[in-house]
Amino acid sequence: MRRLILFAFLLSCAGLARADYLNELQSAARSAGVAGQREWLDLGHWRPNALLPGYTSLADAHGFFLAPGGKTDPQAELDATLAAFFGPGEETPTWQHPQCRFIARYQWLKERLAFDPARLPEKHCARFEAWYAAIDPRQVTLIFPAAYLNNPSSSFGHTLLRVDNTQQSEATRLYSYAINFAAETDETNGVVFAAKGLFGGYPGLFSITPYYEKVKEYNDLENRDIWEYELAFTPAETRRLLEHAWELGQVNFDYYFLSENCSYQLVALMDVARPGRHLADRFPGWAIPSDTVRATLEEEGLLRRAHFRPSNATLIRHRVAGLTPPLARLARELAADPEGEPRTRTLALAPDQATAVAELAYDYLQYRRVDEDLPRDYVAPRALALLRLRSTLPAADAPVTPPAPAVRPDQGHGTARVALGAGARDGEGFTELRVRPAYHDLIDPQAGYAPGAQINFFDLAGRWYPDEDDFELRWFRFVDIVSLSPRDDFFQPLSWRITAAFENRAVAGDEVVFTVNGGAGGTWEWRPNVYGFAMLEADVLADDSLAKGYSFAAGPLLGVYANVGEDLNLLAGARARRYTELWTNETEVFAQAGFTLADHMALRLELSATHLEHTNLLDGSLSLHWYF
Amino acid sequence: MKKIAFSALALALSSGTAFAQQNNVGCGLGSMVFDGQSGIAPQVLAATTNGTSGNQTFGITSGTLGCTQDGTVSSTVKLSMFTGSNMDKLAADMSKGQGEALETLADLMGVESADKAAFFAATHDNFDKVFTSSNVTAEEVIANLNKVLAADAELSRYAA
Repeated sequence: MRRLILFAFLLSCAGLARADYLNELQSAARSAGVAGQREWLDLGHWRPNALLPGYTSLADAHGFFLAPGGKTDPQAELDATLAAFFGPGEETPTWQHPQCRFIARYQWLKERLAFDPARLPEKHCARFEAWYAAIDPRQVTLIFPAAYLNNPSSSFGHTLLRVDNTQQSEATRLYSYAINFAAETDETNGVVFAAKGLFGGYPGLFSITPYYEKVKEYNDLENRDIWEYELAFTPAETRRLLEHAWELGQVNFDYYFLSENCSYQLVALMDVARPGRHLADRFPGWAIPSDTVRATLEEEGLLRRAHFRPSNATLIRHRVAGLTPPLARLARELAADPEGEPRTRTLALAPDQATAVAELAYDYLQYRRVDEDLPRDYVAPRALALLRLRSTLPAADAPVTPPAPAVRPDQGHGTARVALGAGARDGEGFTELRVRPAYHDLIDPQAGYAPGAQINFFDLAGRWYPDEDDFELRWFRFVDIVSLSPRDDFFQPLSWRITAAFENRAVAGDEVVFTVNGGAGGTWEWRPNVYGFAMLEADVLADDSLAKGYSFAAGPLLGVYANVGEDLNLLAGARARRYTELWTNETEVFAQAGFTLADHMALRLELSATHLEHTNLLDGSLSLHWYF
Repeated sequence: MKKIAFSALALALSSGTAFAQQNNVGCGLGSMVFDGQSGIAPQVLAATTNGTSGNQTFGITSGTLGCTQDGTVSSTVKLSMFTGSNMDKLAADMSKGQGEALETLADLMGVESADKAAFFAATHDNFDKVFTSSNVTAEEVIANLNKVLAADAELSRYAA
C-alpha cells in the first residue's frame, strides 16, 4: 500500500514536472514573441489578412492544426503544438507522434526555445527517418518544364523540385525523387478544369515521385524541354525543406491556378528552407512559374548550375538539322517500314550516316506514337526492328545532344509590361499608355521565350487625343494568344490565335465593342527564324452601337514573322474581313517592329492602314516598353 | 458579357495543363501514397489503374507494389521498377551502347565505373538477346541481361 502511494506520488510528480516545463516553454515562447516570428508563420503558412487584423493559413486540412482555431490563430497553434510534443505514445505504422508528424516545427522550436531533452524526451521518428534515408538528399534542384510545342498557354508552365541524392552522378539524375504540388482531380473536361481551378475548386496536394516519371511526362509525352536549376541550399536548409515537405505531404491546400498554385507553394516551401527570403510575399496576386523561377534565382550564388534537358521533339529537330534532306526523308520512311526497302537503303550508307538515320527513325516513331496515338500493334514491332538495326551498327561514342538555347527562360524579360507611346491616327496626334500584367507577345524581346508563341493576359491600352481633349480606350484584351508553329516534313502542327477583348474598332465607328475572334491555319519557316503564315479568321462582335447589336465576320489573314538577330522582331501582314450583319468589308495591312534596347526595355514601331468602304484610316505609333 | 470573357479565358487556360498536373504515376499516387492513412489497398489500386507502363511501347511491368507507405521506392524493387518504367529508353540506349537510362541502370545494378564501358558494350552487342521480342516484359529484360552478364568473363560478377 505504501509502495503504491509512493508510486502514485512519483507519477504525479513526473506529470507535474512535465506540466511545469510545458508552462515554462509556453511562457518563454510568449515573451519572446515566437508566434509572431516569420519562421513560425511560414511553417503554418499563415498570411496576414487582407483587411482585418490577424492571420489566416492557406492550409485547409484540419489535421494540420493542433489547436481548434489554429488556422487563424498562430499563438494558439504554438501553445497546442508545444503541448502535443509532451504527449504520450510511440510511433506505429499508422500513427505518428506530433514530434514526428510536425518534424519541421519540432526541430525549429527545439532550437528556438532550447528544449531540455531530459524534461521533454525526444521521440524516435522511424517513418520520417526511413523516408529521409530513401531520398538521401544532397541538393535540391528546381525543375521548370518549358512550353509545349504549339501550346502557348503552357508557357506559363509548371515548377517542381527534384531532390538529388548523394549516390548520384550527373549522368544518373533520372533516379532521384521529385516533389510536386498539383491539383488533385480526375476531371477530363478542360473547360471545367480551368474554370474550377481558377476559383480554387480543387484540393492541391504535395506528392513525391521518381524523377524519371516526370521526365517521361514532360520530355517524352508532352514534348516540353526541361530546365533544371541546381540550387546551393546548405545541407541544413535542404533537411529543413524535406522536413517541411513531410509535414505538408498530408495537407490540403485549395489549388488556385493563378495564385496559390504549384509555383507559389514551392516558393513558400523554399522560404521555410531558407528563412529571411520571404519570396512568397512577392507573389500576392498571381504566381507565374517563370517569374517564381526568376525570383528564386535572383539571390546571388543560389544557382549552382543550370542544365537543359531537351524534349523528344527538340532532339528530332536537332537530328534533322544534321542530315541532308534525302537522308531525313529516308529516316521517315524507315520509321514507317523498318524491315522493307528503306532498310536496304539505310544499310547501304556509311555507318555513321546509317546510325544517324536509324536513331532519328526511332525517335520519330516514338514521337508519332504519342502525337498520333498510334496503336501498340503498329509501333512495337517497328520499334524493335529499328533498334535491332541500330544495334548492328557500331556503338555510339558520345550522345547526340541538342545545344541549350543561349538564353534561359529565367533570363528572359519580366512578364509584366508598361508602355508609353505617341503617334497619330487619321491625322490626329495622341499619346498612349499600355499596361499588361502578363506575359509575352510576338514583338517582345524574344530571348528566353518560345519562338512564335504569344500569350497576353489583361492587356490594356488607352489613348489621349490632346487636340480633342478626349481619352479613348483602345483595347482591354482579357486573353490574346497566338501560336505560330512551323510545319515541315516531320511536324504538322496547326497554327492558331484567339482573342477575347473590349476593343476599339473602325467598323463600329471607332467605338469599343466586345469581341471574341480567332483563326487557324499553317505556318512555314522560309529561312531560319523567318516564318510565313496563313489563317482563316472568324470574329464575333457585340455592342449596342452596331446596327443589330452584334455582327459576325470572317476572312483570311496572311503574314510574315521574323526574328532578326537577337534584338529585332518583325511582324507584318494583311487581313480582310466580311462583316455579315453590317454588309461591309474591311481590309487591313499592318507592320510592327520591336527593338530590344536593354535587358528590360524595348522600342516598338506600329503602323496600320485600314480600308473601310471608301475611307482609308492610317494609324502609327512609336512606344517604349518596360518589363518587370 | 462577363461570362463570355471568362469562358474564353478558361478555354485559353485549359488548352494547356498550365500549372496543374493531374496525373501522378510511379510510386506516388499523389497524396494517397504519401499519406499515412492509405495502407496497401490504394497502392494496389494505383498499380492497376495508374500503372507506370501504359505509356510505353515495350513491356508490361509487374506494377508498383514496391512502394513504401510514404511514397519512396523500396530498395528491393528499385531495379525492376526503374526498368519497367523506362523500357523504351533502355531499349534505345542498349541499341546504341550508351545513354542516361543505361547509365542509371548500371548504377542500380551496382556496376562499378571501371566496368561501365564493358557493360554498355555488352548491352549493345547482345541487344537481340536482351530485347527478345516486342512483347518482352521488364522481368524478362532483367533476366536476359543477367544471362548476358553471366556469360561475360569480365561482367559475370554483376549477374544476379
